[in-house]
Amino acid sequence: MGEYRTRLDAIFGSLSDPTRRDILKRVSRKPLSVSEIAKPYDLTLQAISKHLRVLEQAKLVRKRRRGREFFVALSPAALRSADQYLAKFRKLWEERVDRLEEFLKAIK
Amino acid sequence: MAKKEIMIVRTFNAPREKVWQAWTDPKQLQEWWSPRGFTTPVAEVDARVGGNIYIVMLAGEGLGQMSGMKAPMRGTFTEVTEPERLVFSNNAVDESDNVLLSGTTEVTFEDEGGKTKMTIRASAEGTAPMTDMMLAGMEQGWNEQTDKLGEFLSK
Repeated sequence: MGEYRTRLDAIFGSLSDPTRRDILKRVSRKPLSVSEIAKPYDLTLQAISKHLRVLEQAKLVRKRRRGREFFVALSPAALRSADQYLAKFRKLWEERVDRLEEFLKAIK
Repeated sequence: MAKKEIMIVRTFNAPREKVWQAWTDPKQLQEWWSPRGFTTPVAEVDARVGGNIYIVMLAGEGLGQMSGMKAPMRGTFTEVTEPERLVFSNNAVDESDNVLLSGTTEVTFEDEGGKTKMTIRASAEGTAPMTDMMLAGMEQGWNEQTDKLGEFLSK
């Protein structure tokens, strides 16, 4: 629980910045090299690296060396959270359908 | 996050027209749309192609710190065939209308001798942090993290 909270704090912290949200969105589609990540922004590589560090600390992305470059990808932990979300999403719809069934009974 | 889809099939002991109305009459939809503990204070349902759907769910008092939190959803109908089929886009938005999760909801109603077989296909697509937030809101709604979630969503 404590660990979960710390992780949530890190996630919320890293989400407070629009550039980081955008970077995350882009690497969630496919892994990108650091220079590819930097391209659309008017920021120094140093500033980009700082954003990446924050995302890494929140365990949202993972950085790996491939040849001469570093590639950044969505982390397995972030992907797992996405799976958990799907289970919640199903539960929400099932509950909704239960309530619809009750409603249809009641208006008969 | 890749696109995720769920499918739910349920048969109701009610004619198709009744089930159709429960979906397309906003007053009726308000009665069942939100999960337990939530209400649906706003429902706009313009069930024709190009018409909009806008629903706000509100966390009730029984939900502790989460109580008072709003979860708006906005979308547009792309297929409306009364009383057989409804398709609409389904975007969870924050209070400033930023899209958190986007998806499509497809509902079909089949007549089975006066009963109605309903099939829902609902997809959700979002970025990892958004799914984490939605997850945090739904699962950890009982603890103080929700305050932060609420703050974030209302920014």
